[in-house]
Amino acid sequence: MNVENAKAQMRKGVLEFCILSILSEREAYPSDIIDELKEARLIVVEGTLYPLLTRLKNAGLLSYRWEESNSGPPRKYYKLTEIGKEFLIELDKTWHELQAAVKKTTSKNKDNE
Amino acid sequence: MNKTVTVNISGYIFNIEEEAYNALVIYLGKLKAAFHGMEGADEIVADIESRIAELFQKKLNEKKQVITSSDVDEIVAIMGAPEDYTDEEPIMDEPNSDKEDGSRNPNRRVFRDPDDHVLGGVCSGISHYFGIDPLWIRLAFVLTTIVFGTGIMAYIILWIIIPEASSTAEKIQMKGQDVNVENIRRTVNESAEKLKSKVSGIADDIKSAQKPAASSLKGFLEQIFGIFGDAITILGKVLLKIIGLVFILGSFAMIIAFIAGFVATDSLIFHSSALSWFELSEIIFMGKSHMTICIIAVSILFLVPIIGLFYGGLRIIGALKTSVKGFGISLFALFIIGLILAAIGGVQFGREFRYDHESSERIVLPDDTDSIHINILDDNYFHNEIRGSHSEFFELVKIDDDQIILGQPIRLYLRTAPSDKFEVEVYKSADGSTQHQAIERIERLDYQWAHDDSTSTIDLSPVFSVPTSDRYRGQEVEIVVRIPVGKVISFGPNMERIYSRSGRSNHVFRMGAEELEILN
Repeated sequence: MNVENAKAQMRKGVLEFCILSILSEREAYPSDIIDELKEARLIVVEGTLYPLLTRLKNAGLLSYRWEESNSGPPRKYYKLTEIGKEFLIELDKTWHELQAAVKKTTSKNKDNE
Repeated sequence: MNKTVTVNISGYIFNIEEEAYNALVIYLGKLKAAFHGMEGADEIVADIESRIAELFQKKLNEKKQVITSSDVDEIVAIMGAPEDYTDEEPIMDEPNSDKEDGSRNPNRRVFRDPDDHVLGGVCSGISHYFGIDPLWIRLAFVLTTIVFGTGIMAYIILWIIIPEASSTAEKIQMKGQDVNVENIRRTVNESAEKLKSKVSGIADDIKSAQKPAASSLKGFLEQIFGIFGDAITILGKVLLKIIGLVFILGSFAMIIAFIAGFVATDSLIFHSSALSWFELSEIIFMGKSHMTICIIAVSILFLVPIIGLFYGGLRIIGALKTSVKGFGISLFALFIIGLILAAIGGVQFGREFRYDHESSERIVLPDDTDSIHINILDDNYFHNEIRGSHSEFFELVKIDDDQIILGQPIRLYLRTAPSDKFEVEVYKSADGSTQHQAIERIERLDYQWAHDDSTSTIDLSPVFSVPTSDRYRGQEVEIVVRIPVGKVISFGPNMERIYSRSGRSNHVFRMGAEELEILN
């Protein structure tokens, strides 16, 4: 068990949640999503994103449309589907519960020290 | 000047340096392998390619028309290594420890290395395991073969029990690198590729069968050879099973032989003599620890090859589907330990016999003696009628308090005297780790004999004794009686105790020109 691995696992868990959140505000193509995630230090390499997007799309949470680009090949613009929106609400709820639970647990244990 | 190639990525044309192109192909190949079998794999790869095309596009301008190696490196760094993409747990903590830095990887296993071998790749496999140069392992095998003769045996056993690293994953494991998802997928893909080419090969055969006679003949020959090859393969497999069976039966036979040998030795030593195992070990070994070392060494050197043979046999006939992890290497290590112990025990023991020494005592009987009588004294230890030359060594060994009583080796020789006087010589000899020790052992060797001038009688004891603390270290006694030609010698009973020829007891002889002539 090493700490980098544990960190990566934690990040992975919230990555999907974050992607859905980004897309809930606007349509975006992978580069935009990558920029935001990189800024938040949630991903290091871009390659991580593509399998996730494909999986979310195949699960029916995302849909995309093609848009021509003047700087390269056509881009896929992703947006949330109706299922995706419901899914995000559920995740949001769980996140807040989780956040509270984690905060409670860790602060309690700190008091005991 | 660099050669460039033109590629089409996601519908865009790029000029790319050949070296950069190769790097890109390898990278994309890795990606495909990593995503292989995953849902939407083609789509993921297409998305990534499209992103790469976009990034390449950004690199190019009116001055820069060609994608270089450093561009590809940069893109690979941005996109990340395939291991980072897949969301499975990486198996190891640190992926890509390509170098053999000697740090122990728990997933490291012993395989025979098919890419670096002199015989079966055993040595290079072991060297991968320990992260050292195979030269040393090879040297060790050659030396143990020359010195003990056992290295070659161990090698053959290891050849059988250590599996060959046939797949990529095994080769990676052999070198102690990590088997991660990407590597496993690549292995799977490689075998899939092989299958594909095989299938297309068959399709070609069918096509060629429809072509003119010359090529169909070629196809036919290929088929014949194919069948022939299959037959050899099957025959080889059957032979292998038989060999495996022979190994298993052989190991059983060896166990039985081992036990039988032990029982035989046991009955020989302990049933024919009054010696207990403890007493015997006191006579032979140099102490408890020396005895323990020797017994362990002998047991290991006997049992390890038997176990190896049995295990190898099981592996060959397929009774064991997978090799037991670390079994071969532990067996090998055990064998080496056995060799080392045997060497230690053997050297200690052998040193005790390094120097030998002999001392002699000589008497000349008076001129007027015309005949002598040789009398063997009775002893309280062994039966008086035992023939010394017909007995096993251990039959004539006893321990009495702190003395070892030895009924042999003690020998009488009758020779022709150089003058007209009777002569008797007694020689005592012993071995020691030093000359001094050997001489001391002789001094402590007690042999009873006497001569009486008035009756011209020589009394000889059929046994001699040494202190138990001296142990048995080659102590022996020789008596030489020289008889002048024409003079007479008579013998008492039980001469056979120390004299090798029978028919001397209770008889009278005269020394002739050549040999003793019987008078009575």
